[in-house]
Amino acid sequence: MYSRLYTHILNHHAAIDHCASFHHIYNDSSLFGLFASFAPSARSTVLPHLIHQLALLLYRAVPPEELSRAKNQLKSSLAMALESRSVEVEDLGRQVSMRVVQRRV
Amino acid sequence: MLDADMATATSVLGDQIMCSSSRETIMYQSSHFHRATPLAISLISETVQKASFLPEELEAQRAAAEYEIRELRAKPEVILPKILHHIAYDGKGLGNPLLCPEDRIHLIDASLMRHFMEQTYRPERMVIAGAGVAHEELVELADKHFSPLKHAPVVDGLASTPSFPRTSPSVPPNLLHSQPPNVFKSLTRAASSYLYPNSPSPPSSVAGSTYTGGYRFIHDPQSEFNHIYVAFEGVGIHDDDIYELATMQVLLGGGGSFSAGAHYSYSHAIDLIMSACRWSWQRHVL
Repeated sequence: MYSRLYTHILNHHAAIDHCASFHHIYNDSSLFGLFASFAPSARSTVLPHLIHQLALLLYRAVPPEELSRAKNQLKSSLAMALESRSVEVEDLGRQVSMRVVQRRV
Repeated sequence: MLDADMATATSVLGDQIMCSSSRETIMYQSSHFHRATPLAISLISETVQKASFLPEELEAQRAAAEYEIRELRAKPEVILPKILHHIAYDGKGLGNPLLCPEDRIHLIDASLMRHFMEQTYRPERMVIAGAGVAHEELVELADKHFSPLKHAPVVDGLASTPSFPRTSPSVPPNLLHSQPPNVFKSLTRAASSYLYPNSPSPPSSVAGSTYTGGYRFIHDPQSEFNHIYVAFEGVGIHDDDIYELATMQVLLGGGGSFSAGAHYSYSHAIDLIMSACRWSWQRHVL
């Protein structure tokens, strides 16, 4: 709710219906990025806004408070996900299989 | 065990048993009461090792796959991440489609399924994990139900294990195209070279994935919204920088304009990997 894509994008552009970051992690690669869904009328402005968000991360220091909020959120979502037994067992299996793979390959 | 017996066994014990696949793993998972652990493991073990692939059941699954793929194609939020992977990894390795291409569904039959399972479901690539169950009990059950795998000679190839009674079908046809993950490439190559000593090269689906990048524009004047995805290659799970990247993703966050946040939940290698790529089946519909 206080993440950047809310405060910088969604709260200012009514034509943008959905805007979020994503990160698909794999063993030896990951895909990191942003996506947006928006009314066709906004098509010429959306991409520059997305790129601007990435540029801010590249060229401007992240305020300490914001950074610490993000870190806490990451920590708490990790911890909270593991409250579920089915997530716990899946995580366990995945960690073992990835370690095994890493050793063998 | 017949389909109906399987369904009865699982429902009587309050079992939730399912199979899901993502780009790097296929998972058979069961949630159940403690006393049902032996039954759950035996059901999963039968499904993994002794699938019968009855023609009528395969036919039903092909029809279901066709239907599901048509449905998913109409959902940009589902299909675009798949296209993104395809472009990012040039259609190889991680870029292979998770959904079976429609024109190939009819090619999937029992021998193809068996071939896939024998190539993929090997003890060295298999992990059995449990939570809430005593370690010794799990080890004992794993030994009881999965030890035949140790003795399966690699050179058997398609001949498989005819002495086993064939039982319930397990893997939905689409799994055939969630190909062996790239990280297993050397293992898989080794395995396929045993299987096919005369073939010039391993099946293309086991090729590794290299990020190539690229772009694709899809014009669809019918759609209510336009969609943009911008992606970059990040580090893999073993890299020390993975948490920096994860923090950056949380920092950017985002979500829908109507729902306030909580669209992402970040769990070490679990959530985001799965959310866009997972396709799960309840086994009782198989």
